[in-house]
Amino acid sequence: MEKKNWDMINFETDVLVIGGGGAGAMAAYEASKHGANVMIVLKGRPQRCGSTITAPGAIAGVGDWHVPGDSPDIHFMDTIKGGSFLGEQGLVRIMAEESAEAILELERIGALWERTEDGKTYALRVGGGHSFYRCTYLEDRTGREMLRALFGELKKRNVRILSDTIILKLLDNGDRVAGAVGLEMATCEMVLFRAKTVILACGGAGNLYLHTDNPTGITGDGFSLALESGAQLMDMEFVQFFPLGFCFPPSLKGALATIPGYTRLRNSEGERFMEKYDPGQMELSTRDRVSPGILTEIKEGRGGPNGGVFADMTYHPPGFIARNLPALYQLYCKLGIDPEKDYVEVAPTCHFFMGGAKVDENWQSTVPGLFVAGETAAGIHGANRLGQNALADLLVSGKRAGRGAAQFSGETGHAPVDPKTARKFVEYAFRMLNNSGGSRPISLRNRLRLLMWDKAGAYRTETGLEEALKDLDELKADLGRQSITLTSGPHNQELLEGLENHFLVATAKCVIEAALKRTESRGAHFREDYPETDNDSWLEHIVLYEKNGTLNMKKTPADLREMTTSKETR
Amino acid sequence: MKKGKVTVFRYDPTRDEQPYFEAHEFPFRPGIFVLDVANHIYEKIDGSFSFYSSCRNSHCGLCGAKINGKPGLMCREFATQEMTLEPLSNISVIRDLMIDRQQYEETMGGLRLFLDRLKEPASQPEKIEREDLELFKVASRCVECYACVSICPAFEENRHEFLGPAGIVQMSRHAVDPRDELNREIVAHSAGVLNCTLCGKCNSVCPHGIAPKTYVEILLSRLKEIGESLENHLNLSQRAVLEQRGSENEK
Ligand SMILES: Cc1cc2nc3c(=O)[nH]c(=O)nc-3n(C[C@H](O)[C@H](O)[C@H](O)COP(=O)(O)OP(=O)(O)OC[C@H]3O[C@@H](n4cnc5c(N)ncnc54)[C@H](O)[C@@H]3O)c2cc1C
Ligand code: SF4
Ligand code: SF4
Ligand code: FES
Repeated sequence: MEKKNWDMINFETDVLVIGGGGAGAMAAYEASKHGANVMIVLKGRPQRCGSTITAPGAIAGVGDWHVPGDSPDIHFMDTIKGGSFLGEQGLVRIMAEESAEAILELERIGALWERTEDGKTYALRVGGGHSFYRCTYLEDRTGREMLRALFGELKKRNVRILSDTIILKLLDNGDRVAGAVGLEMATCEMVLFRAKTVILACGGAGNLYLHTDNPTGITGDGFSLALESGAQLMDMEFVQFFPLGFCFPPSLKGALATIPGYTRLRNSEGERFMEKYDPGQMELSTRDRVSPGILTEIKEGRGGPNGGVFADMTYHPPGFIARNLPALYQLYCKLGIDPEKDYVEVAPTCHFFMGGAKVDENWQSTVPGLFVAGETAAGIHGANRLGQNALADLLVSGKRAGRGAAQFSGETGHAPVDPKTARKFVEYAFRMLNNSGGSRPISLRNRLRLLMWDKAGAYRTETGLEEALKDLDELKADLGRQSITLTSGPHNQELLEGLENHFLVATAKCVIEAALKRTESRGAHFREDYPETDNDSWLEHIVLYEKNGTLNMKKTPADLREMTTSKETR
Repeated sequence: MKKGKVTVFRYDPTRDEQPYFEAHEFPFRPGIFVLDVANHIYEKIDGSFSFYSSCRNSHCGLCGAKINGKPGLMCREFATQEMTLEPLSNISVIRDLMIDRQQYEETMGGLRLFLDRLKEPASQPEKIEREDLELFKVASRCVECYACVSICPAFEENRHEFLGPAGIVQMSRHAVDPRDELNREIVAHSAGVLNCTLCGKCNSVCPHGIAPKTYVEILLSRLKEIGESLENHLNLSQRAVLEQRGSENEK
């Protein structure tokens, strides 16, 4: 499609929220509560994109309804230990103290959490690494319930929502953020936003790996946008593999198959093999132990026919799974599996990015006016995330960022934005529509996902990672020459994939470089050539930043203000 | 691996005068999903073949299509060795299997889909009987895939007078919320709930086992109560409909 004199759509707002998952929606809600003019822009449609809608588990948070013995302190300690002491303790403290109030607030605006038999208080779930049952939920649609309440509230408050729009570049005026430019996919028109503050909440980057449970649009956009705008990232080497992904059929491969709290894991000999890897916590061990355990069983020949191990849920009373995991139950039935009698074959799948933008206690990045919330931000989960802590994180970080951005916007005016410069940042999108002879975005992406899975996945070595860097460089050469089959602009999924590939490649580079640099094993980062955890030299974050177009790294010490490794025992 | 054959609906309104069908082969294995076939066409045969999917796991509601004539989610239905794929009916086609979801979403704009109440809870968590949560929980399962809308005869007949089952479910989620104080029955009335013929077709296609008709019936029976007390405010035809629905309900 020839598109020469194209127009642009223009918006002006105090706070621009990029991303409509839980973190973005919460941030938009909070900023609007604090009097700012807010607009939210998302790549998909509300409640149809992002990881949040797919989260079946629960929200961790210790409120007045806690079980005897539990406290925010213990939630804090569980999180720090689960993250192998790389969680920023100031931020983790905030999550542990503020999550319960966010859970209540969501109920005030319309969500409903499951009750105990007598209806008086919340029913609770547990997650790997949590010392107590402390997580509120609704069936296997906790994340969706959060979003349904939040988007209802955003509508009520007349917060402007722009769907099907991909942000391609953040704009700044040298010392602070000034807005963003993107492409409205439904019309293929350029959109320019002038904003006093921006909140990035684009989720993670699961689609960097061959197998993932993330939805298709989760492609590292937030990491890449932040990095390009001059913000610092950290902990990018820590990528979590969730133990329980489906193995078959192909379109379901990697999708989340069940939740750990409801499952015993068995190998082909029927053994509960977690006995060997963590006899204390068994399946409720942290994911950085369960996933490698599974991979070892498979490697040593005790796997199932589709390359997995077996999730056993047959020990529950009749009707339990149907009641508590209704969406999954429908699927099991469809697949001809009766979870009360049969096992489900499962294998690890890419799930979550612990790393992201480095933020302060208002979730402001190192760029003034640029706030980052949810999975796009780093800090809370350290080297490994505990189950149910992501939903807690995104509520709390969303709230903090929303409030911080509203305050910041109240204190400043709009920075100037040059539309002509802005225009340049989207021109490559239009060029892609006219390219020919290059590789298709889908084949480029498949190459990338395979290379990351093989060479920068759950097991890493120096040689593998070096090779990954080389492969990535080759792939980069093809990135600018991607060409697509469908040449009409509107609703062009292939064009979208091509644009996302730029973000994926930038994210891949961060993951590989940081993984090479960290010469130890910790949490989700396992180096076969450095299998030990090295607390003497590696209680440090690897911070990444861009300068004149090249990626630089430096180390900064972990925040150990409350708890150190020597005090590990309680 | 056996050969499968799929006939797909193709239509690009910006280029084609009218829709046409196209046949493709695909590697068939029992147990693969329809989405595997759609992905195969897109990846291996024709990159311009257009459809939406995001979660691959029945959450986003985007991959709805008519599969061998029956509406369903492509990520939830098994492929058959010979099959046809068409877009869902009753909503405009953007291209191929893509439908204009925004069009239907906009019809729900006036429904006040948020918790509407005056009373603040005295304390939190507020007490809620588990059984009062049941209908709310089921309605909350809706992923707005619009399979039910695509098969609803009342919606097909006059979309300007009837919201259709997906919207009814969304609204009912609040109507059955024990905390909500808004009179949702009146809203349902202006959304044309009396036009539902109670045919039950919507119940048979929902991938999440929601029965939209049940919610129509709840709204109708509440409306009937109001109707009786506000006898003179309802016109004759409305009353007749309520009578008829009421007696059908009792059967
Ligand atoms: C299958 C699955 C199950 C999970 N289960 C649990 C659980 O039980 N408990 C738990 O605590 N955590 C769970 N998690 C993790 C948790 O759900 C996610 O980490 C969290 O939801 C991320 O929220 P978010 O708001 O940061 O991002 P997301 O919900 O992923 O949303 C990202 C948003 O950004 C938008 N976006 C992305 N790029 C752009 C761009 N360039 N321009 C505009 N918009 C953009 C997307 O469209 C989307 O709206 C699960 C994750 C997955 C994948
Ligand atoms: S029962 Fe009512 S809502 Fe359902 S398909 Fe029939 S007419 Fe439509
Ligand atoms: S009620 Fe069922 S069929 Fe209808 S939109 Fe909701 S999920 Fe889809
Ligand atoms: S891909 Fe999301 S419902 Fe099928």
